[in-house]
Amino acid sequence: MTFARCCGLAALLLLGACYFGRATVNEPLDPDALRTLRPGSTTAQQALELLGAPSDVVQLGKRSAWRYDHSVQKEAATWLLIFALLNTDQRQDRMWLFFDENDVLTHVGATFAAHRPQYAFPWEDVHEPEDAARRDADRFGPAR
Amino acid sequence: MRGAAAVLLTALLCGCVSLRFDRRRGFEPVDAAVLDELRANRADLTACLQRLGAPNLVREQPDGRIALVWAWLDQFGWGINVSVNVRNVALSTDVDRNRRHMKGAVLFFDDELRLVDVDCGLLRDFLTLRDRRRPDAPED
Repeated sequence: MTFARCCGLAALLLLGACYFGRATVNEPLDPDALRTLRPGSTTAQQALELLGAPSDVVQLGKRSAWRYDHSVQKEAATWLLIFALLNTDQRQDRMWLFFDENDVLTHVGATFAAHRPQYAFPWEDVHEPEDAARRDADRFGPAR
Repeated sequence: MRGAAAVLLTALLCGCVSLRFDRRRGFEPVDAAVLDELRANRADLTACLQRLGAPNLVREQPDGRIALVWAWLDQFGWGINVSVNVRNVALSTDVDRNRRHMKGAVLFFDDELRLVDVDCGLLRDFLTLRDRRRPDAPED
């Protein structure tokens, strides 16, 4: 058997033991929608019409806070007989809207990172600043 | 001969024994220098949200303060799983050396939404200590 055939056979055997998985939770958050929110004037009703139902509502005394989120998780694994290598990487888009006792928006916090998870081996370093910047540039919407 | 037996044994074991090297990464770590700066300036909620983005959790504390939690995870370790079938009963055990303890930073805000305290470390420590339920109201 030639060296090339051996390599081909080995590659085929290894590919059969590889796994790539992707899981998402909730719909992606739209950065454009974030820009239409106006602390001091946007009401809870307007936020509800714009963003839909939040995934969590927290009472903070007379205030309240609403959470919107979207998660992406990427998994990569490979098995060599009884030995497995697994890597899981999860990132999230999150928005928290804070309302006062009159249900008027006072503060907004947003993180957009659901486009950053990567398939990788456990020993690989990912999420370096330049890599994150490249992925941010490819993300939809103006808020990066 | 012994080599062939070892290979055969390993091949047979793969249905009931697995070793794994596992790494889990989740969310974005918070920069300690940014936390120090926010704490030194006794920043307000607006400044904290601008610098740190959206927290993972928001909670009201028993003392009335508001706690915002940023959490992240980047850990790896070894694990082993053994599964056997005894008299049609499946038995499985899993030893996981990868202690998946989320790290976190908790920022506490007073009633005027000014930063009053910052805690960093393992998230489970803050949450068990601080995320207590309010006591029930006394019955009349």
